[in-house]
Amino acid sequence: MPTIKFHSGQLSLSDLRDECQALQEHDKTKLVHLQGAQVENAVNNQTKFNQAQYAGVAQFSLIPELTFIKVDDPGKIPSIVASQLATGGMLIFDEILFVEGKEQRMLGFGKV
Amino acid sequence: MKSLLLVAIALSTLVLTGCPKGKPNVPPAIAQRIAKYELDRFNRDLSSYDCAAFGALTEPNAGVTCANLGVPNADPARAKLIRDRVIDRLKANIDALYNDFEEQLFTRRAGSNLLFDITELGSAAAINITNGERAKNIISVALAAFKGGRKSLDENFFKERTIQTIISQMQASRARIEGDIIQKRGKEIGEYSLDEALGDLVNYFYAGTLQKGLQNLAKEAGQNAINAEKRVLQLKNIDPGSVVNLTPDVRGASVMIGKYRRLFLASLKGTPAQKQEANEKLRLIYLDITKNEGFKPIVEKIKKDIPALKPDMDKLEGTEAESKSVAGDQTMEIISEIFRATDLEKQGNLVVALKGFFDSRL
Repeated sequence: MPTIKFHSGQLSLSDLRDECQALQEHDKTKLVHLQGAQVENAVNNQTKFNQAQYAGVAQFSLIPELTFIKVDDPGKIPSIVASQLATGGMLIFDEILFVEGKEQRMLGFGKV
Repeated sequence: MKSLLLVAIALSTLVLTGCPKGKPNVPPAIAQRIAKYELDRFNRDLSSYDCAAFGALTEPNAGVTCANLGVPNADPARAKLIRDRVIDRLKANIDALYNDFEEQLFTRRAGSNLLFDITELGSAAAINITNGERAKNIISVALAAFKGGRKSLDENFFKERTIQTIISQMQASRARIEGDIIQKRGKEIGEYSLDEALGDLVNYFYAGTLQKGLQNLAKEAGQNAINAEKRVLQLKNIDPGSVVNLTPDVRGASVMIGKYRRLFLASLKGTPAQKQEANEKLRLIYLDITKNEGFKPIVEKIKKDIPALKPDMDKLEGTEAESKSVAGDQTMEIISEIFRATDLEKQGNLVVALKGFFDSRL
């Protein structure tokens, strides 16, 4: 059963990636999905979040290293995915996230 | 070029269909005779088509004339019939091959060399019984391409895709091309020539191969990704307790602890000297943790909650000899559990301190 966490939509791309990585390392989990979430009722005066789902891993050695890649041209998605696959990166998500408060299409990869 | 296409399809389909795995093999001599018979028939159809479509043979064929083929004059309606007959015969061969192949994919999935065995067998046989040098070259090139692609496909493809998905893709691609062919058959030869029909049949044949199936699958997946409409979730309420709120220090320290853990795990799998060094450093990090007052309740809690770790934790805290007897990977596991039991938001100072212990021992 994945655990759902919400990360601030105001974080920079590298901070968001680090926060996800930090949770993985701490909780012995792996990120399985990430997607922007607009919340009607604010929490901590914020309405923009990124909803993350984490699943437990059997060993600490199975925690993947995350890479988030900004997609400006969707036509490049196949080549981005192919180049990540070539280096062992597995696609985790292809979604719109909130990065520094703005919607941005992102690809997320994990490499064990 | 027409005859080369015919040769390629005829040989591939006949030889491949003749030797499906899981059924009695057709002896090579018989397979070659059947192939030669089919080739003769195709060549005759090809010449007849030329006579009916153009009133003359477009490629010289020793001893063959339009008159002795029974097509002395141009006859477009007859040319259309011959074209359709060629399509039907080749398509039947291709379908027979494909059906065998699909069945084998289901029944012999574990034998992932299947396609390549069949392809190499078929192409090798084709080389033996083809007279035209250009046809040989074409088939040899095709064979080399299959061999070249073999290793990577063998290693990766069954891991990445299920057979059913690939079969579905092949079926969809074949059905699309088949639909085109059926639609075009209604056209006169001026609008849909035999050459064009042969080109479609070649595509139809390759649409039923694993390589093309995978290519189409990747292409479709990529296109789906490009065209996909993405949007953020719209939620009314979220649980405030599920909102992550880490300071930059804690975030950075946690990421670094993860990196250090990877380094140690790698060292523990290294040479005996690397392993010994890693064991000692991890032991010292554990002792650094136990000397920190803030960690004491966490260490005690782990001893209580995870009894399996307690004996090694006690040893690590015992005499030097006892302490050094604990395996490094076990010490790593204990430190990881201590990190896990530390609250990232409420005990951020301890997380930063833990990262400091790693820094000082590396």
